[in-house]
Amino acid sequence: MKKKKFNDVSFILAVFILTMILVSGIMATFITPYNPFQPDMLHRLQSPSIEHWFGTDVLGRDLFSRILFGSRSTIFLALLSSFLPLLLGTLIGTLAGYYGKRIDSFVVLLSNVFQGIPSTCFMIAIVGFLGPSLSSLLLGFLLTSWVGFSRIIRAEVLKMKEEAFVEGLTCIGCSDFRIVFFHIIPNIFNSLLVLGTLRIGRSILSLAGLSFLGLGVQPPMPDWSVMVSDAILYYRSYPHLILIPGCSIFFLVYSINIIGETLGDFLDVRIDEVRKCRGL
Amino acid sequence: MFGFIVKRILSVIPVLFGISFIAFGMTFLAPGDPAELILDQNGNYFPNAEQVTVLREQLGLNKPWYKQYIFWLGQVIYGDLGTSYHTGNTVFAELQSHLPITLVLAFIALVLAGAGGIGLGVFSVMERGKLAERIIQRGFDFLLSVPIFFMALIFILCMSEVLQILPSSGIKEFDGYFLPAVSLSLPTMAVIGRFTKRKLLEELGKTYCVVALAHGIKERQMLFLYVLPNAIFPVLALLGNFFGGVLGGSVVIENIFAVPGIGSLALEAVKFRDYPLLQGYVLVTGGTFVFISLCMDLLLCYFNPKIKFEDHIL
Repeated sequence: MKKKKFNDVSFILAVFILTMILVSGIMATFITPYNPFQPDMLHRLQSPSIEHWFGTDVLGRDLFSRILFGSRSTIFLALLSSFLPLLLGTLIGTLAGYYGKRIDSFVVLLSNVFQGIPSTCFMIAIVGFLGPSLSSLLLGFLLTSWVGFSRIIRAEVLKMKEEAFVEGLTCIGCSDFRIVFFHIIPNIFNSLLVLGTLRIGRSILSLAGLSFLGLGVQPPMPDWSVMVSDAILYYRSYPHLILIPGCSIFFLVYSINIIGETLGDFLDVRIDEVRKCRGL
Repeated sequence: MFGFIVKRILSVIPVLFGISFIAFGMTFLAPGDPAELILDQNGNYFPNAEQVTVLREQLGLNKPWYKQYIFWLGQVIYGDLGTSYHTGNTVFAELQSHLPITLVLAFIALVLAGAGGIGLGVFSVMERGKLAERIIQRGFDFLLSVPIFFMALIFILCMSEVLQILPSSGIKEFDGYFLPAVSLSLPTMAVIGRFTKRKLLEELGKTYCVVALAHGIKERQMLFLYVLPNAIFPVLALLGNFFGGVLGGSVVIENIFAVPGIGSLALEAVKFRDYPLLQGYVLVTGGTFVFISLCMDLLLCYFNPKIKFEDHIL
């Protein structure tokens, strides 16, 4: 398979798109021509024009402003939902890989159980029990996605444990804590970085799916997937209402994926996204 | 081989117990006391403390959690998952009427994804270095970045609105399954395709391929006779895993295409805070997923008796 490089057109384009989305999200308050929350019933369901660049939605709210503000919730959620499971997964994975034996078999069993329930179904159930809100969505996400990280980290730590330098460190009397946090984790940092970046794309997609179903970001807050589900009754006559937010999600995820893959090729990290789990 | 089968089947038991434990534990996440929830009839009635205590005793809520769990598990084993708060039917009956639809949908999607993914993976390896490979590669990248609901809506827009050849909702006719199954299968297809391609390329780098080529075998012949059977095994071993993804994605798809499967049922349950139904949903999706993975592994063991339980982790 061809390796992706930093001077590929697609990589430069991806960085450009991502920067645009980030900057416009951060600067949204200064750029947006209209208030994204302000309904204007006289100008509802308008097609794109000079006044309203992306048209207006069912309540006459300016779509361009809402798209800019919508990137905030998406990016915030995406970062949080990849960082927290990464942290938890790394912790559990290193614990299992480093100490082995009973802890390891317990963690393997635990991850088999958590992977035994399809993650979307698990998240829906958790959101259902806690009631739809952002915090319950994040909790559901954390509970379902640490497994993917811990599995890979555990394998990396197991490999690392056999290295001569770890043995040497044990001989000179380093504590386990020191070995793990100052020597093993920096060594697997590249894998963590690539894994995290590639996971952001997938988190955005699955969070978008749940928000689309009304289980994530709640209405008045502008969010791309909620905008698509708001337009579900009107999109047959006004396709731009779903095309613009939908394409925004696509561009964001696509650029993050390209960046992640290029990073992986550059750092020479090979991650099997698809792994078989024992006993499942 | 026999050892593998026994170990594999036994390994399912702790996982199933764990899933049941999670399903049971979820009730503790729910805000409020279940007894009060049942008694207050959506705020129409204010139960006094005595009534709540009586109902708590009737439901066994005053017992310690492990006793509750064992009692609950005993009922679940006999198929008694409780009664749906919302419809009043038993949860078992609800799941029984909705599950087959989702299973059919997921099965079609998985077959499409497997056939399409493996086919495209092999094709792009055959055409490597040419334009077709790059197009397929871009296509996979594209499919892995599109939200599934967006893709489904675009399909409806093209196929049902503009061309008017396929129904956009309902599954009364069999062609109603077409659009949902295709949109469900595409992301999985991309994952399978990329994985197949990588495994094939890995296999092509091995020495036996060089030897075979040196003996003068045609490349295509070598690919299909020697490389593909070796490379395809890990891909097939993962098909069971993908079933989980398809099952999860089906919730969104069922919602869009108005397919009355368990995904729609679960969404209803979330809306009406129907806790027993949600519990049943977790149990059923988890159980089905574990069962399908088990079946896939046993099938693979039949084709490749050399497999051992340990190297099954990949």
